[in-house]
Amino acid sequence: MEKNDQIKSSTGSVFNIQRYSIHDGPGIRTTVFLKGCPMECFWCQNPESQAIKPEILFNKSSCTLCGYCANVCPTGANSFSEKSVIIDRAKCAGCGICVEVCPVNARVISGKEMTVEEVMDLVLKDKAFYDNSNGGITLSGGDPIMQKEFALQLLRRSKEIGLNTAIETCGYATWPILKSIIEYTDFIFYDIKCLDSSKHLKATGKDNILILENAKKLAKEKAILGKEKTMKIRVPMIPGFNDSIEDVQAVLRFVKEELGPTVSDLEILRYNNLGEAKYDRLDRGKERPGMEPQSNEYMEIIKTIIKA
Amino acid sequence: MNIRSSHLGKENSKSLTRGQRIWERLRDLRDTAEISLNRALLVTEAYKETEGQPKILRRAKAHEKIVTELSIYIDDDQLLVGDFASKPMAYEWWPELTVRWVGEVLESGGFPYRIEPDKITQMKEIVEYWKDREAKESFMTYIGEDMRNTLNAMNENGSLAFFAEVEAQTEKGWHVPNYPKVMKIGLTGIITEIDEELSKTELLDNDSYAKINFLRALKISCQAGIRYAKRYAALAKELAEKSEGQRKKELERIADTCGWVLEKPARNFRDAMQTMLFCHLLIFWDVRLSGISFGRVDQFLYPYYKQDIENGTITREEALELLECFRVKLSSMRQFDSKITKEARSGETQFHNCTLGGQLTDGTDAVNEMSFLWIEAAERVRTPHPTLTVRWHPGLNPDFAMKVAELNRLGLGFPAWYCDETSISYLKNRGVTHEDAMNYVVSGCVLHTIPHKSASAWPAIVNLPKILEITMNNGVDPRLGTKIGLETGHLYDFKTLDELLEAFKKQVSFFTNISKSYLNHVRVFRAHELPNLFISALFDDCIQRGDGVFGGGAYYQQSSMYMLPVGVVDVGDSFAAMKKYLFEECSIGSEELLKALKVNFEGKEDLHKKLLDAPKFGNDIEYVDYIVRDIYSFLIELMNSIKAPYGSVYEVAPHSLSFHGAAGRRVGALPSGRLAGVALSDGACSPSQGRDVNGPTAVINSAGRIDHTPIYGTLFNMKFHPSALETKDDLEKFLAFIKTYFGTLKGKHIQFNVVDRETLLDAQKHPERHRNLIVRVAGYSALWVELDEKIQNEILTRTAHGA
Ligand code: SF4
Ligand code: SF4
Repeated sequence: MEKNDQIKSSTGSVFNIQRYSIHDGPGIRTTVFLKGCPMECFWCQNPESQAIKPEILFNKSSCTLCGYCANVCPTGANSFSEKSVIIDRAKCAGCGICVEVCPVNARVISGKEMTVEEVMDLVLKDKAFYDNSNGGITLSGGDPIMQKEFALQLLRRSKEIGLNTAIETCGYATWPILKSIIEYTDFIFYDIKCLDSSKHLKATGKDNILILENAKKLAKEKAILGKEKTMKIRVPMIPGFNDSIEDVQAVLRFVKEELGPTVSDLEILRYNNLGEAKYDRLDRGKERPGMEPQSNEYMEIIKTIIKA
Repeated sequence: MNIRSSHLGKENSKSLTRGQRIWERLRDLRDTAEISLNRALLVTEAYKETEGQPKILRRAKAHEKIVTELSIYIDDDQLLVGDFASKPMAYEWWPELTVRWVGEVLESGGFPYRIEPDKITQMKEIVEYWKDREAKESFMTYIGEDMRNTLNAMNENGSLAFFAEVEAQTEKGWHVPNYPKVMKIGLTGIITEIDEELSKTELLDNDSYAKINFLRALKISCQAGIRYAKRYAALAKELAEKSEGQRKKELERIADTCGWVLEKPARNFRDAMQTMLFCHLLIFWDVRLSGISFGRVDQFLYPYYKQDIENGTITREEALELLECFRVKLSSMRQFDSKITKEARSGETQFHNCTLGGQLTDGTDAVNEMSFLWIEAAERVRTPHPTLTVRWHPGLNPDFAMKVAELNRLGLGFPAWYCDETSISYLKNRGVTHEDAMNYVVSGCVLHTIPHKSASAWPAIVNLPKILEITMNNGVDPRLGTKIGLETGHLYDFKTLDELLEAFKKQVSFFTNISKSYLNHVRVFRAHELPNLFISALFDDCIQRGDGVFGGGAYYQQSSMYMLPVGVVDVGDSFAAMKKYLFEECSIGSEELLKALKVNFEGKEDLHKKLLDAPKFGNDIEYVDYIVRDIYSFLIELMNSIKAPYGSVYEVAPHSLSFHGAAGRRVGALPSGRLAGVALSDGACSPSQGRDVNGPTAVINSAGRIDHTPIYGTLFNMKFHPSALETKDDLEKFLAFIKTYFGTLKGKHIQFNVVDRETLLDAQKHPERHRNLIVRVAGYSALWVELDEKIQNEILTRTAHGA
């Protein structure tokens, strides 16, 4: 089976490839964002990453109503109302032809079918930068585990070439899958959102039992595999959901008591609202989280708690 | 750069350092300072007094009169003395270069500078005296009507295939005089050298006549220099008598220093700093300054510093204070220029470069304590000048590199980084000795040169996209409808890209030959009619050869003349688009393209989009990167085959200055999709505005495909958002980034602009120009153009506070 996998080059759906990523692991990296996520967090700032199927992000404010998109659309998904173009999301096949013709770049496609080779060719363009900084590749999403076969092949190929590999995951997967993935991963960013399982369920659509279990197993695995693997717990701070002092302390306790000294450190991420506009562009404006990041003062308090 | 935005913080004046205090005071005068007629009146008087004498002696006597009669002052708090004007932050005037524009704007009422109303009459008198004697006019008369007409059709007054006006008006610099020599032997030592040469030279023929006059002129200049310094000794003494406490002591020390230097060798660090400043000023009062640089300041100042620290005669803090004082001095030099010159030279940008770091002759790292001090001084008093360049090599002291990165983060636009390997190879390939090549410095903005040995540099500034337009239209400039080029065919006559390229090369060679011939005239004319005196005394082997740095006096002539091509990347992008659509896919017709260009794509939005989607340089795409690389190879081959005055050949240095803005205004829409009138790409390898969308590593990979070694001065500007340079870890990665460009990809120069509030505001207004702008917030990255306005505003607020 191993052999077979190496020959077969599977394809995956990629929604972004970001070069010179400097906050996603050691050194200079390229982060490959894979589409699809097992959870549906209400605060998500990458809403275009959630579904596996390709989607059009449409910026109505720059549209000049030229009509090119409607002319070329093979499925007839575009129609004109008085002041705008309307995309019938059910009809849209995500072929991306309209993106090519739109003269003002009002359209962006999220989700491109790419082969492992295509992704690796792009990633390897920056090999010199990785070599000079001990950097490499980071898989992010969505959650890369949603496309486990593709993710696995990317990681394995990267390791063969000698790149440092990292993934950003929420840990919602069966243990064997997760285990096979981390075998080829040097650096794991592991999201823990909230220790209260019912709250977790309500906010993300999934409870946290599997996530916490996997975190413990990973920590143990890391202890076995030793120094060369790093695991970092990331806690995204969501206003009113998990950013109270008690919530943060609960996560801290869990990390200290259950995961122990094998986790290199913990990172608390201030809420960001950089993705707000994307909800409108996906015609999901109603779901816009519309929250503000925590204040500097509050973040200072949180920082002192973590240090203590 | 807006100077005011380079804030010092909100500390009250008590906690300010000496340099900060002086700078706060001076920069407030920037907008209100006036024209001083002090120098202009003196030079005019001097020329009236010396009517009929040999030109070169008149020049020397004018220099003498200026520096010995100019009104001088000593600024409060300053530890170094000597100024670039007779009043703080004022503009001085060089009427001998050009006065006509002043006359014209005085008439029309559009004089862009402040001047006391009662001075206007004096100013008009000066214009009257010089209007037929000024260098520019004499030159125009000298070249004759035919050449004038040809030039006017092609330069700023016509199509702008190349720049010529600016060249005639500005004096040249970009060389590095031997200030350390004056520190070592004083001007007395230099005068002795002149005397020895004079005693060896017998008056027998034209050459010896010229040589003797030249040497006598140098001697007058040097002697005047000694008197100039002593005037400050006297003034400081006088002021000391009226002062008390610490200032009294400071003034007494100034009096002591100025009584000693420039006449005698520097005894200590303080003397050395004052020597350097005085010499710079003496050159300034002679020929103004343009890019005259200081060289390896950390190397030649370190022995004085080390000695003083060891004797306990100076503290680290006192040395730092002197460097701060020096920075402030250099930032108070103004440029009184016509509007056209100002535009082309980006306002008051000056290019007084100081080189730090690099290697010693034996290849070991040259960084010393003085290197750190220069960085610290620039961090403390955030003046725009002098600019700093760091020589990078694999063994560069990592603590020093980190310090430099921290200074980059402040967003002053410097220090620039320069690569030893490619620079040293370039110089050796041009016959420079190993020892001299290892000791190279960066002068002007990005030119590598041998201190006090390489002649000054003169650029033929060629507007390549204009030549492309002319090529596509069978020799006609489509903007003016005039035929100024060769008849090499219309765009529709070319069956292949190679045919089109061939025609383009013929046109480039045609225009370049006119431009260089003009430039040769300017240089040789200026060498004879307006020689540089004082600076020639500080250059090998001007004294021995009896000729100035503009003439054949300098030891090395390599790279003294070069082509400064503007818009290479725009041309490369245009060829790539035409290759793809016209010659490979045949999906756009040449007539269709020409028509669309003519109307600036109005009503042709689909075609425009298609052209914009063609491969663009700066995105790590071989298809177009190799086209740009090949254009450079062609330019280098062409220029290296053209003879230059005083025994060298032409080189290529695409360092754009601000010509890409001015040139772009005269260029119509291009096949690259760039719209009419928009600024061209800047420097050597910057992508055209907003067209690089794959991040900084892609830009670097594209830039790395160009062969930088044979290029003389490859300016490369890069933008970073401050949030990518926040932590020490970020800076480590930033340094790895530079290492990759230099160590692996063999680049030559790079400098960083940190995105400021103004850029973000512009990006809000013109998203199309900033498609590449990445902002990082709390570990997340986003393309600026993808953000909601509300969130953009939030980031703006944060950036205003220094992110
Ligand atoms: S992506 Fe394809 S199917 Fe969807 S709207 Fe565009 S052209 Fe139509
Ligand atoms: S092609 Fe673009 S600009 Fe034209 S109607 Fe469609 S979305 Fe709007």
